[in-house]
Amino acid sequence: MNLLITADYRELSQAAGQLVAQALLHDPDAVLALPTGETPKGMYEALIRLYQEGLVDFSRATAFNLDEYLDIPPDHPQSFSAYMRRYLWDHVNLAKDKVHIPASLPEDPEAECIRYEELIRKSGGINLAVLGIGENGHIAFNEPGTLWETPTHVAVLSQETREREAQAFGRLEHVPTHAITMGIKTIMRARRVLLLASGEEKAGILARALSGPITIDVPASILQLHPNLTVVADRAAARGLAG
Amino acid sequence: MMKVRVIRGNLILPDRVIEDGLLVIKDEKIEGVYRPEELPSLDFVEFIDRRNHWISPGLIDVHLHGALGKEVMDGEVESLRQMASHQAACGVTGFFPTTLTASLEAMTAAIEAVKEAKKENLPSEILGIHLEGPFVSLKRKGAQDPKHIREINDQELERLTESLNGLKTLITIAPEAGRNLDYIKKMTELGWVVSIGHSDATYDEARKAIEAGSNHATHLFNAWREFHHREPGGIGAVLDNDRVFVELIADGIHVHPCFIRLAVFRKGKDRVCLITDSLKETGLPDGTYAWGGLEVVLKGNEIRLKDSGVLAGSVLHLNHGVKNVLNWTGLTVPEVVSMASLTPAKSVGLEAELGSLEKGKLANLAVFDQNFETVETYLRGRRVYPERK
Repeated sequence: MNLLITADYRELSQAAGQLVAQALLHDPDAVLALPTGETPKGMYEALIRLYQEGLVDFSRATAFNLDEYLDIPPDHPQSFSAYMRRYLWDHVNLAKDKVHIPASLPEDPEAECIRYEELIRKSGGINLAVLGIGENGHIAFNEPGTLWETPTHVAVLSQETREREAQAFGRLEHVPTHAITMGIKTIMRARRVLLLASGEEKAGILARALSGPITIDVPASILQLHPNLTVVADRAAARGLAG
Repeated sequence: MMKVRVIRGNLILPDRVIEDGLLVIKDEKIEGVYRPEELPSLDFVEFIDRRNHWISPGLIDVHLHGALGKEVMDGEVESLRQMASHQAACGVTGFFPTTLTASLEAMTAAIEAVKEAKKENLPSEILGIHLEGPFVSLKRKGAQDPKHIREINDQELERLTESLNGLKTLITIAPEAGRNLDYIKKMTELGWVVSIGHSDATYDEARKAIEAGSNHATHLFNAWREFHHREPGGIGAVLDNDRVFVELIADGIHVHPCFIRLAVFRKGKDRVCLITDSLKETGLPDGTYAWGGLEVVLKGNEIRLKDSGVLAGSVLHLNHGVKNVLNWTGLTVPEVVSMASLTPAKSVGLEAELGSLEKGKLANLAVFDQNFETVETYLRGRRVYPERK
């Protein structure tokens, strides 16, 4: 594991942006898996800036989102496709046919999962997966208890995850109950994983994930076994890590 | 709670290497070998990260006499403890203490000590015993004591069987000497592995021994009749047969690397057992040591009689034998490691539990660095080298 501790969130964002840019410079055809949430917003800003400065080119890259809610329209402001348009897609030269996100209103969610997993496989597999970590240790929407064998699947959102989103959706009942997410297995197949963690509220879970027992109760703990893991954490989030 | 641990490294399987693979150990057995994305959902209480290291099946040596100043013929349990501790330091998790030609009394004393030591939790397991002699050839005695070399008879076989009391037995005999050939069938019926060695057998005599049930050859090329194109001798007979396992001392001194290659490429990884045949000076610092009335000089990987300069035996470590054969043959790591693990296990019928990193087998393994020096050794899932203080 490579661990990079930055002074603050701004530095974390720049470092993460540079690591993604490096992956694209190294392999312009790279296949990326990209997250949503608060933590990666700064990374996307950094990437957009690098793109505007002509330092990084997305034209040949492929991007898969880690996950998407089910049962909300794709143009819903809280959907992950809306998020991605807002924070990345609309600002860089990703080719439309190389940007993928699970359908939020599929006729058959199970079939959609199979299609998505197959699409990843056909694209040659993920070169770099960028992840955040939930306060309960989730990665993408793989909540505690998710089996490692699972590929892309329909996930039931935990109560705590839904409560955290209640404000964004107006009220708890409006928060979707399900999502489609890449599985632990999908993520572990990525050739490289970049895990981002920011803020002191992540310090406890980051320490448990990276130096605690490897267990399905802390989904991110399996990343200890990934052969090519880079962790970028700001000082506040890294507080619980030894060394 | 079940204790499940995972070790990461370059896993040496019988037919391939899994780079950055994960070996999962449940209690004392191997739960499985996996790539990271193939892991079943298990809760690991411990993660042992040995990246850039080889994770090898624990090595198995079916022929060694001593180490750290002690030897099997001391007839003492403490000597076997010392030997086991040296084996663990070489990545060897199972071995056959090997006796020398001696009186029946000295042999039974050694056998009793081996049986006692086998009951202890040693850092390397005693899998059985190798009786090298006394039913060997005077002409090809090597370092065996000529005054105790003799022919086998019913009474002595009975006494030995009684003393061995079911201990797994490998015996080196010269089939051409006396009536030894007639006893091969009896020995195999007792469950013994009968090995041709210290033998002047002709090609035909060795063929008869193989037909009678012998399927092992003791340190091939050392103490054998010369290999000749009109009389291939025992060497020709065992090399020409696809069933016989052959032991090789791969220290670069006992057998020229050219002959190691000839044997390895003829027999293949499934019939070559790398051994050390190591003496009690193995693992000691360089210096002069007393040997009965003689003095021997240990220097590096050679041990010679002080007066004559004659080779006294081997002080090889089995992990170095593996490294040597890798260098001399250009074979793959799994192929050469098999010759010091799975193949010797097969040669003594212990491959169901030992010899490879496979689900269901005992979690016996060695962690080697890129140079095949031992970093750690695990026996039944427990770390035995370096010793925990």
